[in-house]
Amino acid sequence: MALFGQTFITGILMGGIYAIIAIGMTLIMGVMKIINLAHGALMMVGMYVCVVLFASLGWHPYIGMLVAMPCLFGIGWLLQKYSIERVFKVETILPESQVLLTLALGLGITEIIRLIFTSDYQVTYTPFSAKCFYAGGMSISAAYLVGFILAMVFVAALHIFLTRTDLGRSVIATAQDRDAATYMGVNAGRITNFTFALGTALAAAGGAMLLPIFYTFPDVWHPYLAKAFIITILGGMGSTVGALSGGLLLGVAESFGATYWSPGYRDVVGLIIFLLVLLFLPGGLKKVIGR
Amino acid sequence: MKKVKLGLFLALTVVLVAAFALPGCAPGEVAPPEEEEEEEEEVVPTGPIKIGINLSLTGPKAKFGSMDRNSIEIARAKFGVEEIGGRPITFVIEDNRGDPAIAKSAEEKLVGVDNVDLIMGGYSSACGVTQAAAANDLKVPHLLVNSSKDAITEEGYEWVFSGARVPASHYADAMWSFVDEVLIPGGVKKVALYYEMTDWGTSSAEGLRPGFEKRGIELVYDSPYDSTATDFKPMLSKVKAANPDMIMAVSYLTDAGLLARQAAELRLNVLAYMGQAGGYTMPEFLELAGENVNYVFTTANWSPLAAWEGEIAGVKWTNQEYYDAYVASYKAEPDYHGAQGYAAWQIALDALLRVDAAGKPINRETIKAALEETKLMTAMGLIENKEWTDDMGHHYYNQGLPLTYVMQWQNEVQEVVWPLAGKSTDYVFPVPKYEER
Repeated sequence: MALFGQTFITGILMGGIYAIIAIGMTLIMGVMKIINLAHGALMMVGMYVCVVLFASLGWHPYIGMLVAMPCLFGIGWLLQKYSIERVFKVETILPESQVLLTLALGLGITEIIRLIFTSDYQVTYTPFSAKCFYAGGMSISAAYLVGFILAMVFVAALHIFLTRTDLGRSVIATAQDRDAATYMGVNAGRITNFTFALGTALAAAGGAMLLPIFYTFPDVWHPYLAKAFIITILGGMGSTVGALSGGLLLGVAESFGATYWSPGYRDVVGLIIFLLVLLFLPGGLKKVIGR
Repeated sequence: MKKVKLGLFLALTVVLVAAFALPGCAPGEVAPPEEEEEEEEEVVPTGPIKIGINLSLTGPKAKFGSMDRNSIEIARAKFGVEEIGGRPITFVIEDNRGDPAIAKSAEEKLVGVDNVDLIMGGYSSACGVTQAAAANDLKVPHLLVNSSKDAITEEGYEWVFSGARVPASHYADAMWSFVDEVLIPGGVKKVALYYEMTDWGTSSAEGLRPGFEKRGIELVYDSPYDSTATDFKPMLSKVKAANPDMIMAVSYLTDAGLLARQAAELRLNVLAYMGQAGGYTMPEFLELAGENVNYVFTTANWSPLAAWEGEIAGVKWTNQEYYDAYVASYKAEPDYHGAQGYAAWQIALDALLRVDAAGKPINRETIKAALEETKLMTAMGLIENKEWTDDMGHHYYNQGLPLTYVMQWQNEVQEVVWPLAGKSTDYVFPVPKYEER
């Protein structure tokens, strides 16, 4: 029973952090209808901002996150306004050339970070990272728990923002029907910039939550980009509740796969879910949840 | 049908025309073999002696590749041989990013474009596999640096040399006497084995399993894992449920750090946690795992404490000097990976000097012949490239067998604890429980 409980708790806590990383991607995909392949690299930049603040000022990544998020919000806005938006306006042979652009941006950002920080692993390990609570033969890591709680707070705040504020409703309106939103007076271009920037800031938050339990290096983002993509498809584009459900489901599925199947096949579990959702639930969990 | 016939006729015509039009393809233009051989003997290589270095210098495994390259540079500076027979020595460095496909392409580029005389390289076994196969096909001598998968030197590649690397299934050689004399009498009866799932991990596990079985030790958990995962708690929870006396882990660096941390979080108490070299010997293991490194045993292929010394090109060297030079130059400690890089240049330089001393031209053929005769004391101990069979049935070609050790992290420092003759301090066994530390 303790094994089952430990597996479930670990999956849920990890899934919460997956969700906060994926929620930015799902917002961007919902509004812009493109896969942002630079999402993971931008998460990594957020992690490096926290690492620099940790190394220079001794700030814990949870505090560093308060700086990393505005920084990445700005970077996201500039990238969207001065690169991706420009490609949107250009007629090209490839209909999804902006997706290729995001891939190039991701790779370029990775190499710039490598140039500055080298490929060395950067650690922000503090005594807090090692703190654990024990109950019923199970252990709950304080860093995982705080990361999960923060992720839930972010998801709830984002949900309230999107459903209760004019700016948030404009984001949803643009995601649902860009032309109709424009006719209703929404500045769709500005909303797109804002959404990309917000999604990037959320990725930075996810990266900051990972730091106390993990570490960073320029290529750290690859598996997280794949997970964010799976969660976006699983939850349904543009849905915060879908992303949260998708993140938790992926975390739990991976955890059970690793415990009861094989740790070597943990990623296979995610890919099987991905295929099943594409085949049998193309709209994702959003269709089931209704949001 | 007519179109098909016409197509076949055209294709045949093109093939025949191409075959006879290409220079040297027509039967009449083939030079007699004797003349070719005579011409080859007259050719004396000119220009620099080019040494290709094919390592993972960026990407997730850059830490190891960079340590290898840095160590090769330290060895080059130490022995100071910049030219042989009037030909300057140049290094051509290729970054394979730890990707086996890129590693193979880099090998082909070094041979086809840069025209190197010798290649050194290979950190991960996955890269070493493709590099060795390519080098053998291209007939260029390749001196392995780290890639330790047994099969690489079991393929019968005549152009591939193991150098100072230890084959994966022999990493634990010193450990087995430690198991027999200390761990089994101390109560170890059940072992949990987990290993990273690429070539190195699986090859190592294949070497470890029979060793435990032969000693009557039960494997209560035996599984591969993905070394890029963030969270190993599901796996470690299952290990804990299996209640082993000892953990045997084969890990790279980042996974080794996370495993040590998360085992502590889960209070996965065992009598001994044994890592098989890899990440567990890296100084960065301490950075990643913090105080949780303490009491972790690890097999090791090298220690600065080993009293190896010798002379190459009239320059005397000691093992400790390499360690000190590395720390002074890079403000970081090297581990056995770096020592294998240092030893790789010792072996290569020795071969080049012997070719020159014999009055032969330095080219791929003569370097290969010299490497076959290598018998040299290096930073990894005595190295001989030989053909031999071990007691597990592995039949190796061009393979030496450096000594191994058991080390233990104590007070966040690595100490040699086995063999007792070379120990730097006493081992701690059984290790204290996490809650009592």
